Amino acid sequence: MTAGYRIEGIILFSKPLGEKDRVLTVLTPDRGLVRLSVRGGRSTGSRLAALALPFSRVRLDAWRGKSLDGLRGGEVLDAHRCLREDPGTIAHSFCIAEIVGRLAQEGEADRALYLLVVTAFRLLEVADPDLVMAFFLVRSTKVAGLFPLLDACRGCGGPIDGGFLSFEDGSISCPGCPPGPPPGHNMTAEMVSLARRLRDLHPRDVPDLSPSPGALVQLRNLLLDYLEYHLGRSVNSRRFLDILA
Amino acid sequence: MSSFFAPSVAHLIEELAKLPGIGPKTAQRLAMHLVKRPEEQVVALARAMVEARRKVTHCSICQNLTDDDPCEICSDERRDDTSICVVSDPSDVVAMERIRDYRGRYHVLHGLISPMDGIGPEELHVRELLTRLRAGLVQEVILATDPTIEGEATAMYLARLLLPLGVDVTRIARGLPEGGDLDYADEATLARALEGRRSVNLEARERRKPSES
Repeated sequence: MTAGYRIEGIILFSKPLGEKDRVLTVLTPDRGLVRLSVRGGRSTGSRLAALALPFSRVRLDAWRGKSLDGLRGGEVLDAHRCLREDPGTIAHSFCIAEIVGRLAQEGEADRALYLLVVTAFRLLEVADPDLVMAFFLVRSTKVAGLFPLLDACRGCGGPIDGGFLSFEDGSISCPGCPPGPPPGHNMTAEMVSLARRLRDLHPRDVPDLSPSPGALVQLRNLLLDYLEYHLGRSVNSRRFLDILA
Repeated sequence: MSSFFAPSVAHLIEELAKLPGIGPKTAQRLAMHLVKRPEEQVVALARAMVEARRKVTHCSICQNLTDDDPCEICSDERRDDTSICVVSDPSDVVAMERIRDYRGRYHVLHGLISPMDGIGPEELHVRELLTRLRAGLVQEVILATDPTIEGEATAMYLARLLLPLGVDVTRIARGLPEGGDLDYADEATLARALEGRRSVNLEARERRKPSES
């Protein structure tokens, strides 16, 4: 038997590989993204197929391969079945997975990002998907060191209720001060306040928030634009947030 | 790698490697095999490929691949017009036909909703399915998409779209494979099987249905 190792992680993607196999992308706390092949993973009789379901938290035994390691066995720690049973939550879960797939790197540990994904997927089972998405976007920008500076105006340094958010430097300017470098977008007072609350709130309190649906979707879209700007590419799955909801 | 081959062979390898499931090594092996075959065999293969590509079209009713429009299944008057089985690919029609138990019609979506790949409902043949249902003959739509997350998303999306049209929307069952041992089943499959359990009496009656009708 070839040398192997054990990982714990969340399955972000499961893609077909060749005729019968699959390739998994797993987010782990200690190794960042790990890619594993699942031999026979597309066959209905495969005992490994159930370990290859996206969004489940798993403990996996892997063997080392020349170019791609492979899945030998393992166990499902948290199946997150609810996430796969409603088109709306599927769309939100895919969007989270896609963003995480861009933020995380192979071989680079990122425990904060891992814990954020675990939390976001748990919250998706109990809370409004749009609220969880906004929470995830706020926290992921924070984890990536990109969260906008929303506590004071970039011009006068005074408290701020709303204004122009510069995507370039992540600053916000009050209506009386010159705006930061473009591109950017205006944030209403409600959006700023909601973003701050989602930044500071304990995750267990997220389901209790009840922001106006308009502000929630506006904040979500703004943060997606902001992330896309910093990632340098678009998030494919974002258009499905509304189509499948 | 292919630059060490004669330009014509390198070109063949390049083209073969574009096919799904064929990597550079396999492409190379296939190319070497082809150039060693008698010319008439290679010409026959090339002709078959070109002919299939030129002749094959989508059936205007079910969207399955066919040489003649409408396809054989849609033209068969003995088929049950009240039931449509929705599948993702033409190969799924072949799989369903192999069981020789389903006598209804089909609808081929040509893909599944896949947010990561940017494939949404408008990229699939959903509009054509709705047109068929609006004709009013269909009483049941069987969603036979893959038991994957993309298959599930597509099935759920279609169910939400079709139920208001007043048709019965059913999903193929999921659970244990025939001949498998229970203790080898994974938790997800076993949970699904338990969820979808049926009364033994009902099951026996359901089995008798095709021969009774």
